[in-house]
Amino acid sequence: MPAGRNEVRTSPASTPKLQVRGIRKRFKIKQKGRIHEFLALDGVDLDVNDREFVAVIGPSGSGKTTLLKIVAGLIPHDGGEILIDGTRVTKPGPDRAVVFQTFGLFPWKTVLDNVRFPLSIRGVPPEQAEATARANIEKVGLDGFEDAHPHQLSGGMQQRVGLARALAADPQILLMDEPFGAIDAQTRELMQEELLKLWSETKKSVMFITHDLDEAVLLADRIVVLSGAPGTVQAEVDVPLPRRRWEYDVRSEPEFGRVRHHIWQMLREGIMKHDADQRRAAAGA
Amino acid sequence: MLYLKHLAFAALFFGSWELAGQLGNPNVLPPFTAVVAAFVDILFGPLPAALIESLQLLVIGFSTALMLGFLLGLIVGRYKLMDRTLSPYFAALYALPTVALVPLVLIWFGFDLSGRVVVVFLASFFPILINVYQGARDAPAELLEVARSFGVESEVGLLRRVVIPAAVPFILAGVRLGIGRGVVGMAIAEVYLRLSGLGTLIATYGASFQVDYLIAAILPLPFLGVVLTKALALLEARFQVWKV
Repeated sequence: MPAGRNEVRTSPASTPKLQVRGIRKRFKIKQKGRIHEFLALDGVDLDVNDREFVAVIGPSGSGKTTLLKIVAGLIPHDGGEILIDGTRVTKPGPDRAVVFQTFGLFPWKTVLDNVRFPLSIRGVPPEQAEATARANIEKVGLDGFEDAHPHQLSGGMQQRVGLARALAADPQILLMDEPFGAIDAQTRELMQEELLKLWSETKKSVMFITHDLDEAVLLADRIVVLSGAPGTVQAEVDVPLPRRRWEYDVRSEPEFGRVRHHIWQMLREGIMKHDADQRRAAAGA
Repeated sequence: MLYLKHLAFAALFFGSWELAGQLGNPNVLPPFTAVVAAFVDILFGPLPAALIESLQLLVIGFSTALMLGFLLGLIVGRYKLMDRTLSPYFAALYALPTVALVPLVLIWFGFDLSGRVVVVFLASFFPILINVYQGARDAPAELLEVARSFGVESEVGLLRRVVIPAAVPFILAGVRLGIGRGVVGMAIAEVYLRLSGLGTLIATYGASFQVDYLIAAILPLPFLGVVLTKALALLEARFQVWKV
């Protein structure tokens, strides 16, 4: 590890909230009785500063979700480390909360009980947990649905529950795994806007996985572009659009188009290269 | 309307039975009214004591099967090694009719209460085991990740918070099948292992060709099956509001 990083680690004022350092991940897959190894992530480095919104974008197969699960402490890695406030973490903790792509709600629990879940695991007294849960349900605009079960809600509403649950856990870092990927386009735009508002109120650090370029530019302070496979960081791009982005038509800003175009050029190269590799492999086989 | 159809069918069925009984040999098929009279007679005679004895056997055998089937089902469903090594035997034992095991149970456990309990246990155990096992094995991986991400660390915690609640529909299905088979096991044990409870009544009336009493003594069995299954269906509806 370079000396510079060690220095950063000893000065808390400038330590990023989350540091991903040289993360490698191998998967073993069994095919026709033989075990193949394939490298999903190869030395991924990225930082999320305090109160920063970082989007991670990459084509499918670039290991975005794998990376998020490693940061969340849900799956082990094969090299590198995850640091939060400069301290190494290896398992899930109350400093992080995940918003899952397919919502991850317990179908047998009501909205209220789903949102209360992280608090009851932590042993928060029931009345206090309920008050916190209700406040967060209101925050995502679901008051009145506390006693509904997930199957009674639309996809957009279910993800609001997922968001309320993550917020109720009051983490320092929100880990969002393509949270709006399974939601219809109109609802998605609304949810993006509401996420921007919520984020401006709560000021959590966010690591947001997406494969939607517009979404990344719309939401993030900084975009980390992964190329695959194996996933490596191809570039980091700042998004210099002013905040409170729901108050103006951000998509028609020239800067929006410029950033979008810049990243698209990189993604396009990566995708075309990947495509060519695959075709070559298929032709050789 | 459904109610009327049920009524019409019942009238047709019991009417033909009565007619056949009246016209034919009552020693082979006694008329329906004779069976009803016999039933009333044993209801105020030996039936209650016999039924209680039978139910005791059912409760002991079934609850043992439920406890062990539940525990073993969870363990085998959650551990791949156990799953691979044990699950083929489950399917084999599930398919084995309990009645075929009666002579073996007799030799191993005798015909005391323990032997009869073993028969009920064997009848109920495998459907419960197999259903709990399937429920535990198919625990949704995503929800396990959700629970872990919010701080559930121990296997017991995951079982309690995710695996068991998610398996409730499987568990209840297993219990329903287990009770049905348990009633069959109970009848087999009481007729073939040693006469007791309802088995005593059935065997005694059968041996003395009192067919009206014989049928009256058999009636509680299907009735028991219907009542227990209905009770479970109500329980299932209560537990599965979220599955609509």
